[in-house]
Amino acid sequence: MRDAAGDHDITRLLAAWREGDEQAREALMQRVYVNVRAIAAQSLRAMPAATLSATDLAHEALLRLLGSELDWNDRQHFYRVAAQATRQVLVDAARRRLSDKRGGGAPHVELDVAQALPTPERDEQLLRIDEALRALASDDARRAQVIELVYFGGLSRSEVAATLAVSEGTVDRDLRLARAWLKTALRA
Amino acid sequence: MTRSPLERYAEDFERLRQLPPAQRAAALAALPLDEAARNTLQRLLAADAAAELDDPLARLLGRGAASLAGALPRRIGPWRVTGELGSGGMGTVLLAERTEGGFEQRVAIKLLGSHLAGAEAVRRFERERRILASLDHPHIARLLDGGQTEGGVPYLVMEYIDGVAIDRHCSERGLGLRERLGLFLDVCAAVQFAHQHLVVHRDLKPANILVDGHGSVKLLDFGIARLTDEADAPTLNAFTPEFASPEQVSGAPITTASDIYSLGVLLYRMLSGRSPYQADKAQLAELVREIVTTPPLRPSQSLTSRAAVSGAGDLPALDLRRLRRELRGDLDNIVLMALRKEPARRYASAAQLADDIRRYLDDRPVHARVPSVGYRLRKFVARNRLGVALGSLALLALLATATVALQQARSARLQAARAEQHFASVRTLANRFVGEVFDHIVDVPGTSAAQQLLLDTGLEYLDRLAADAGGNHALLLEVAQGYTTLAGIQERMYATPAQRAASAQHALALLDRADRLAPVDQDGWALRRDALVALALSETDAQQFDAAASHFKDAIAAPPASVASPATVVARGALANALVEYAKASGIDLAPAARMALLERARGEFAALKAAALEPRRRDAVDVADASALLFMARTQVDDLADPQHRAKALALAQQALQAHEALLARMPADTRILVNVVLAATSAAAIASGAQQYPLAREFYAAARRHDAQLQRLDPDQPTAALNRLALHLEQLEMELRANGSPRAQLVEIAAVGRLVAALPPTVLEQRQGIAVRAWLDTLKAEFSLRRSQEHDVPREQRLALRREALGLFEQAQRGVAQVAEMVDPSTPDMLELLRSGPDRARASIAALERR
Repeated sequence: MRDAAGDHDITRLLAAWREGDEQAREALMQRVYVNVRAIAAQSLRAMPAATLSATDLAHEALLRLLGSELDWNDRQHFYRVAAQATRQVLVDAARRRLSDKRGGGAPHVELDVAQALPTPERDEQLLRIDEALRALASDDARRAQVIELVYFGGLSRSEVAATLAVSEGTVDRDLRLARAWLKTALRA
Repeated sequence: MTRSPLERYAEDFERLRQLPPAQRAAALAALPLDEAARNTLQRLLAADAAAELDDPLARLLGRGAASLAGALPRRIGPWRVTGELGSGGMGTVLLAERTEGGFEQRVAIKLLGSHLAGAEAVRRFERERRILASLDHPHIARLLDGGQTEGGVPYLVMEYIDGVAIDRHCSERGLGLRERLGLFLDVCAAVQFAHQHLVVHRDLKPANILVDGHGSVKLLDFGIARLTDEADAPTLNAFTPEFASPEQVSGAPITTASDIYSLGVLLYRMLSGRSPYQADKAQLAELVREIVTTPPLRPSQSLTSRAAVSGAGDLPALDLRRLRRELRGDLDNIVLMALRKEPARRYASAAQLADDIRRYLDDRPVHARVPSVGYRLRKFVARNRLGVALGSLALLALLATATVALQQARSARLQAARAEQHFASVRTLANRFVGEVFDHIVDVPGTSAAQQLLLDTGLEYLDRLAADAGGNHALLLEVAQGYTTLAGIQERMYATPAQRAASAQHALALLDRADRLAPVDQDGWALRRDALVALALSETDAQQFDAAASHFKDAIAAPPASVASPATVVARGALANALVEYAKASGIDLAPAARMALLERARGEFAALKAAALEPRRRDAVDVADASALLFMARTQVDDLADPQHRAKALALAQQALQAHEALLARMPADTRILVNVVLAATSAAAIASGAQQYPLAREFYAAARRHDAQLQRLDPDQPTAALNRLALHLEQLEMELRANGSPRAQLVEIAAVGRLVAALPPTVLEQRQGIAVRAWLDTLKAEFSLRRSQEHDVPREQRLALRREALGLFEQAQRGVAQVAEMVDPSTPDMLELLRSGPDRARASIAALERR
């Protein structure tokens, strides 16, 4: 549920982050994370047969938290957070499933989203992708972010370009190279 | 900041990957790089080439990366890419062209998701592509070509349609109601055509239905959803929730009925400018819940306030009040029939939906009618073939056995060549599977899988026999009969009308073949009547009433002069059965007097059968069928308002019917099927007496009904028909007591019991809207009796106030319920409706009166 205070809050946090307040970004991230997680759990209950893709999750989080009447600038910023939060939700869920399989962990609400059928192999692969992305981000923040925005945030080429303030050609080139690199890193 | 290790490869990577694969190795070798860097670059290039085929990220995260994979390719096959038309869940759509023979052709090329990789997926893709390429229809965009890009991404080339989405076309042109319906009819024609070619669209929505510059409708992307859908993991990507059917969002199998539903959503929007749902697409979970569980508002009701309308431009060019008036009734019913939650209860085809719209446009009565509670509960009881029809069904089965014996004897005489051992055994098996074995398990709960297996096996045997029958006259007749019996079994198993019709059509085709081999006799004619009745019944259930009426007429027609031999028992039985089924068929326009005439004729045949020396078992079957016919006559007579004596005559008939049933019960006391019919007879007699305001007599009949029902419950506690009949019996009696001024105190006790009965019903017995209606009915009764009770002298003041307040709450609750299922209100009980309408005001006034004192 969206409430007026919440809207205001999110908008304020977005503004503060634009001003350079990293704490605001953290607070925002937490709000979005909780929401993405709730959306994932809800959609799972509502339609066990259909699975939401990572990008569906990010988009719904955006609509739910901010509505569709959002300042363009805020929207670009929000995408970055939503993509990151979605990635975090998926990775956490995969990690927890794997640790359960190995005998640890308390019972919990199953969160089988974004993968048609979560299998240990898929979960492990997701964790490896996450790790590789983190390694890439430490050296090459922009290319890592392109991957995150496209695959976890569901942004189109032009949206990614606008969000990162680069040309679409750069997005294309970054995406291709980063994707190829990720593939080789996963195989290694 | 560290320099990214990737940065040093970026430029070379980009340049080399754009080279034709053959030239890459040489270019790589020519670069001034050390060995390790060269290897890395080579691995990156290899990974890039393979990424289009197998993108681990896309596979894990659910979005095909084709739409984001980079700049547009310049060429695909012979096509020059000139632009991008759009991208979505199913991939990217490109605009492309080529010049051939001086003629420029523009096409749309759809790049499909990379998850189609793999040999099996490619084979499937090719198979589907051939099917889609055969869809040649003026309102379907042609599939021209297809293949795989150099990178291995499958693509489809389609006719490029320069048009706008149908909803936008309607609003931009300001089209009126009839013009919109005209466009919609073209859409239906295209969908029907595709369905006949066994292609389901699965993603019908305005974006896929364009109108070109000439105003001609073109449907895009037929069958594409299936093509891109992974075989066992349906995802949201494959359809659009706002237009998806309940079975689609809940992951159930998709059939043509799903497209019918999407057509319903489209029509709803084209007529009312609104979505049938309250939730919008942003509230996905809520939207899905609504699609699966919540019945939509009638389109006319969705227009109640101007504020609710999203923009007058989206509406047909009529003022709001007139539009509401136009939608109310037939168009509402048509849309809601397409939008039924249960696939089997929607229009059976797009052609039928179109037919109803044409009927509306021509001012003819439409077939979509939303039955009222009264209709559903009472007519269910009256016409449900599981109940009243058990008599004739049993008769049919018994007579059928007689025919089989007859035919077998004859075949032994006439046929030596083909009546070999093999045939004999297959035949025996077919008859047993289709007949006896099934009869033993059909009513056993939890055996539906076994039943299906039996049915399939029976059908398989029949198909084999039919293929082998050749010129064997007797065998043709026998197999024809097998198919007719099968149609009856399919009906009891709730197979689709189309499946039942197919069985009946098989039977008729075999009979035609048999007739060309030998002259038709009375028994052969009887088989034809049976097959025609089976066909007509399936058509009634498919709401093809014109076809049904015509086949019923064929079934009761006198045999041609060439069928000379005197009427046999079998022939009379088949004719009587056809007459009864025709008289009972609902939905066909037949005046009560005409139905009565059919039933009189049937009873004449029954009388002739009784006069013949029948063996006891068959004699019983005829008596059961005759008693059922009598009961149905009583019910039909009530509706014959043209006859001033209709109630008195109906009451006399009902009493006769009850006596006949009780006599049968005395002979066969443990037969639950007769018990079901006795309860029905007594309830019917009671309802007729109540309608004639003969309340004491009605109470006697109700008491008899309850007595027999209690016995039925002891013998077979889970009989589903009985459960529904029981509920109808109790509610009807309560309604009568309301009219008869029965004791409020006693009735409140009874209402509590009925409430428990409703709560205990399994959800399969009452469908959701029926449930709402039944509860509203019960709430109204309870409110009214509470109000009356509060006015009795022995009630203390405190309790009076509580009763009146409770009545007020119940009236309001019932009004809300009725508003939800307005189309279910039974218009034949205006007095009840008036009580409900005025209820809250009366309750408030009585509360105020008490508080003033």
